Amino acid sequence: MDKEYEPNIIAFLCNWCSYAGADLAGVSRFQYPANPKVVRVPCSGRINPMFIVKSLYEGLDGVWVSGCHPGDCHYNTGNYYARRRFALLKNMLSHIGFEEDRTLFSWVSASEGNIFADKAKEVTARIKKLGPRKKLLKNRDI
Amino acid sequence: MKKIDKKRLFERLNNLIKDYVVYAPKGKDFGKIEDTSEIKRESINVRLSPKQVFLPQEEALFTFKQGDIKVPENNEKYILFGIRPCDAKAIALLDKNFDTKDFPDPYYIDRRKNSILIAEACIEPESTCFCTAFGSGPFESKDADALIIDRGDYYLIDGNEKALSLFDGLLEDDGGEKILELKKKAEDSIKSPVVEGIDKKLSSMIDDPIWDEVSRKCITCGACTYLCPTCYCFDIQDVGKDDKYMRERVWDSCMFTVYTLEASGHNPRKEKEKRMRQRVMHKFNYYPFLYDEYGCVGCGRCIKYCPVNVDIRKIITKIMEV
Amino acid sequence: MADKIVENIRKEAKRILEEKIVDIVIGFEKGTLPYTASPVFIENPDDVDKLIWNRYCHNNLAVYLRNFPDKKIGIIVKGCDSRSIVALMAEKQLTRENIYIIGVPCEGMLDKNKLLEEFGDNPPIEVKEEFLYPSCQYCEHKNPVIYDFLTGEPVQEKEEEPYPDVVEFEKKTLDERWKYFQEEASKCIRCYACRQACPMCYCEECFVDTNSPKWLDPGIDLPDLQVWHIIRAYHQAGRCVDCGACERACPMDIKILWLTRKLNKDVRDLFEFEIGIDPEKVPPLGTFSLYDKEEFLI
Repeated sequence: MDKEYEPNIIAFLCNWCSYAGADLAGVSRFQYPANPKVVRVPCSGRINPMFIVKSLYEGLDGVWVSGCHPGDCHYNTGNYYARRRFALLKNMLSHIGFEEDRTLFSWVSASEGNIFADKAKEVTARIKKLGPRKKLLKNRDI
Repeated sequence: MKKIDKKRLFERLNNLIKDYVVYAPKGKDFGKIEDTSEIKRESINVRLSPKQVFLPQEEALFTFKQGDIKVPENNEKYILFGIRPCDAKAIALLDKNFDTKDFPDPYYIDRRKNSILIAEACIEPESTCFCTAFGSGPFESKDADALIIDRGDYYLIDGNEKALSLFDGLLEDDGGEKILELKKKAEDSIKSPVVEGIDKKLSSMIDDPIWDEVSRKCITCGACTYLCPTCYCFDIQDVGKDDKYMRERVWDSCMFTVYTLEASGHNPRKEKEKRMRQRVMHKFNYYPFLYDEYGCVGCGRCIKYCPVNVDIRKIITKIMEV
Repeated sequence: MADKIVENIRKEAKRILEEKIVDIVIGFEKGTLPYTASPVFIENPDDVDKLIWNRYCHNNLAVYLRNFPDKKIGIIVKGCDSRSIVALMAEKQLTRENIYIIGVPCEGMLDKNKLLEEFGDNPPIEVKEEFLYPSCQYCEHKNPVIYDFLTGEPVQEKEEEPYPDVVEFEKKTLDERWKYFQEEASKCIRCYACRQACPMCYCEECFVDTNSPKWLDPGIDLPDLQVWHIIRAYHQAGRCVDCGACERACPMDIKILWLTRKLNKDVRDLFEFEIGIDPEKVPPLGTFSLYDKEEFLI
């Protein structure tokens, strides 16, 4: 019997909002899929776009980045810088023919436990729909 | 010299593809062919040199998975069809370096020992050619197993037993055709710099200001070294993930800053003039010192593909003038 | 016209060298191959006759500016090269006072490979526009945007939509685009000529050269090559002046401009920024607006 395909997703969450949002979702017992594996970062501005490309290069099925809503950044402006970087990166990845839904971005605040759970569901569903990744995979067998 | 019909030669070559891995010019570059219809020349010489057959840009030395080490074996037989005499000489030079008495390189030798080189004479050399500077020439046959000369519908062919036996039954008498004139015309069209004694001269030029002068416009990319048929520098790295890894050998270039970067952070060749000096010295001083031959064959690739027109012939001339 | 420019270049170079306004002049000399000009560095005023100008002077000389940290430099620039200088100034890599810019209005450089294919070793006297380098076909700034001395009358700038190629490419399906990217990237031999030819690629240590973290394996496995191209291009986001030096430097004739041009188009469309025009303006990724578009968020 085929096991259902479960995508392997990396989630970069900012320490002050989205990570706290994930915490709240857990404390509040909101259900969400276990596919996103969380990496806590100080700020969405800390996320070097190379982290995203590297995650894909290392074989993950999708990348989810989440930070504070505009105006909420703990460092005032980190997420504004991040927004510009991600906009360009996402467009470029799609330009080269990479599925757009494999790199997803969102804002989730510390009080939005339910929204975090919803986003986690949406991210997982979107990436699951694309199926196992075929592009940018190392193809040499060792 | 014998004569061989072109069509029949290609038919035979097609049959040989079953037993041999056949490499030939494929448009701009040199590559593996599945059928002789793929053979096509877009320029006098190919861009990527035939060294890639014996020293691939990336090759596994061994793989390891949880203590289980595997060394790849290679028993393929190769035919390199239509390489140029300069590239045949380059392979002979690589042999000197990889097939040494003290440190034979098994990976290189495995591929090289079962290979047959069929060189094709250059009837119309390019403006970047300067092979005659190094005792070779457009019709030089000594480094290849066979030399073919294109005569329209047929090739003239000469070579050793190993190469000629591939074409058993196809070889006809050449009818006494003379190629001397053709050869002379080709050789005369090549303008080579004088290199006599450059190796001795370079020995005393380590600190010469000339290196700064000739390297100024160099942007230190690796195009010259990667396309060079005799450059063989490589790096060894472990790649892989989880429990599966391989130790691989990949090309490296002395023109890169990181080439000599040491773990301490010190870099003995941080400045580009030192790296340029290394490249020139290696070809014209260290190589003659070690193997009694220049490490350059005059194929002209580094001149033709350099993004900023660094011309090794000009550098040679400048060195000779010092 | 071209002769006049050459004359002006030589005269001005001689003057600034003799008057010690600069220590060195970076320009072009005749190359050793057909259709080639080669960068040259002039320190002696008597050598200025080496300087030439023709339609093969395609290298972006701004790449050499950082090689002479303690010298005053005179440099001969086309429109695109002058934008590189502005972009470097915007990133605080250059001091304007140390550079004397001799600007040349440029009608586009001619593609050596196309000419060789068409005419062999015998250059034609007149050449048509179809032999322009792809990077020059869409050029928006033929005239230098910054200069101390201009060698000729400014040429007519194009008024058309500057990114027709990007728009056209975006019409392809996802898989077609991916296939194109794979084909182009697979030709790469990782000689890094694209990086080295670029004035903006001035990092002390490139991400491919670090081994901790090791961003990328060495070797020529296709994903390795693709990631190199993705990140090289992305590092140019909001910095690339679209001079095309990377593509012209590539010995393997890989098309790479389509990556950076997409980023440039996005930078223009999303952030209303044009790179290499105003040295005082902060590069787009070094700043932000409260009202940046965020439709891409989920």
